[in-house]
Amino acid sequence: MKEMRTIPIGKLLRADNRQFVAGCRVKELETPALGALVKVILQDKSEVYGLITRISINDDGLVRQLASGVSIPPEYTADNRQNRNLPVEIEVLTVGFAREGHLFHQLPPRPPLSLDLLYLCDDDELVRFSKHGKNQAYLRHILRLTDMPVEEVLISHLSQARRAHEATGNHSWYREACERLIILLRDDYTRLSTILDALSAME
Amino acid sequence: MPINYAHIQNTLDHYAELTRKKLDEATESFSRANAQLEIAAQHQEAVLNAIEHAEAEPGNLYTAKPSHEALLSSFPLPDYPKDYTLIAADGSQINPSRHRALQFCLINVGLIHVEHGSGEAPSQQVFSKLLDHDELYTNDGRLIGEDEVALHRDLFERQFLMEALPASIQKPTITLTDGPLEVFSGAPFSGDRRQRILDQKITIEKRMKNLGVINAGYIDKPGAEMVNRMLDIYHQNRDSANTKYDSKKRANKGVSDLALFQKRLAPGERSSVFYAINKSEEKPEGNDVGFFLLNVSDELENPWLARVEFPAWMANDTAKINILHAILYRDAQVLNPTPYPYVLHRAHELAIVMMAEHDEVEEMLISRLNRDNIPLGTMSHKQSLKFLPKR
Repeated sequence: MKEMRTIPIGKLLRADNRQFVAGCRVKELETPALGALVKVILQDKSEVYGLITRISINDDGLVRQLASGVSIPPEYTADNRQNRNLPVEIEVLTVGFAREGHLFHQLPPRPPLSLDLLYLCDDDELVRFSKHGKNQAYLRHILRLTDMPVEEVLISHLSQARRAHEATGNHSWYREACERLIILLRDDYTRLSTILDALSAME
Repeated sequence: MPINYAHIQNTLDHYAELTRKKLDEATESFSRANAQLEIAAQHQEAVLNAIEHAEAEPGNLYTAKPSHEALLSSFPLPDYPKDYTLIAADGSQINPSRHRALQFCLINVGLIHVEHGSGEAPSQQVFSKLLDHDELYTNDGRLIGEDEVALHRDLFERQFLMEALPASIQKPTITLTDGPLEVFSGAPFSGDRRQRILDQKITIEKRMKNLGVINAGYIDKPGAEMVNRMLDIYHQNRDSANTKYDSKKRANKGVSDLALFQKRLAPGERSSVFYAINKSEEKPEGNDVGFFLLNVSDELENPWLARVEFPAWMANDTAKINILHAILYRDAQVLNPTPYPYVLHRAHELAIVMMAEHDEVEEMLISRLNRDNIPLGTMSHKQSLKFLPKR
């Protein structure tokens, strides 16, 4: 069995079936990126998959005070990033789940629980998840986003997935994903053209 | 019951009138003290003699004493060293209360250790200590009060600072606490216990001195009138030499050192060094602390003074005084526009004990005693009633 190369990046703060929020420390922030595939392993060993849709960094009174100061020694910048208890919040859109070895591009029956560990999926898992079912059904979840820049999340995710698939010799995955988006947005021309414009900028 | 605002409203005019009167008196006192300071600066040797004469008299004395530096000289901001160590400690406490079911005292000390020039995040630690039962009561069996707890807290701060120091130091090293450097003011310990604490204090001070560590206390917005009292001693002595200083005849009360120096120090400048004379019958040797006033502001129109205390042995060591001056200004400027040393704020942040934590520690102790069937006291009725849900 292939060793899982997932990286724990945070712990869950709150969740529902459609999305969840994890907290991590600033020094753990080097690995996760917008659009990255992440997962939470539940107690029954099922896994809930999601895409990072927002990363926000909180402040407090001291950080605001420091921001208005003239100069901050690098040691104090490091102090605030590493020592002080100011979690980075990672918002995740749920896009599927796995149970007993089977993948589903549907919302999970129940959300993960607070303090469950959030893992960043490696390229192998990204390829396995995104090619499942051959029609990228999970993309419909991204299109449901209302208060996020859908185009940016899509570009980030598709570029990461495209690179991972092409590294395995699969050069058709990205084209198929674009075709899937066209089908999903066939009744919303304005949005479709915005997304296609954004994707063409990626070329 | 809420405040009776009508009663306060009726006294507002009177209050404003008294405030105006006090302000006028303070302005006059300041003018006189300021003029006295100018005169004293011309006769520094005589000021020194007057203070030493007062020092030799029995009784309490809390005053400034001139050093080798000219009284009214000011010193510009020196360069700070490229690499230096800054360690700060601050403590908070749970005071024992006879109204609670269990009498206990907890001291919590936060410590932050910064290696400036390394680019690395500081290390931070929290030390929590429950006072032993024999430390919880005075020699005559009374539960210790806030002064005694503060003494324990201050000693723990210094103890942990000392323990955070390496065996030998390779670069300028400052240990910093908030408040006066002298821990022994006010606490009414006596006998063996007093001697034990005194020995502990001396051991810490000796170790720091031997290592060459700059041990400093930082007093933000100092309210003390040490320089003002020095002026008063000089003027009483000048008028009738060889008579005992009478603090009851003090003129110009209410003029703080801050008021006397805030217009005299530009941003980043420090005053001359003074000795802080703090002697009493219990502590006849009161000459172990030096200080200067430092304008930590960066705006000419808005000076902000702190009193910086250090061991008296450092008073003639200009290199160490310059390092302390430069580093404290730099650290305070990090929190501009309300300059205050960053490390002290962080140590405080680490140390602070919240009410919920107070209750949790008490719960931990009670649970442990219950396990051994050790009988507990009961909460006073007064305290129980305070815990009733509020309207």
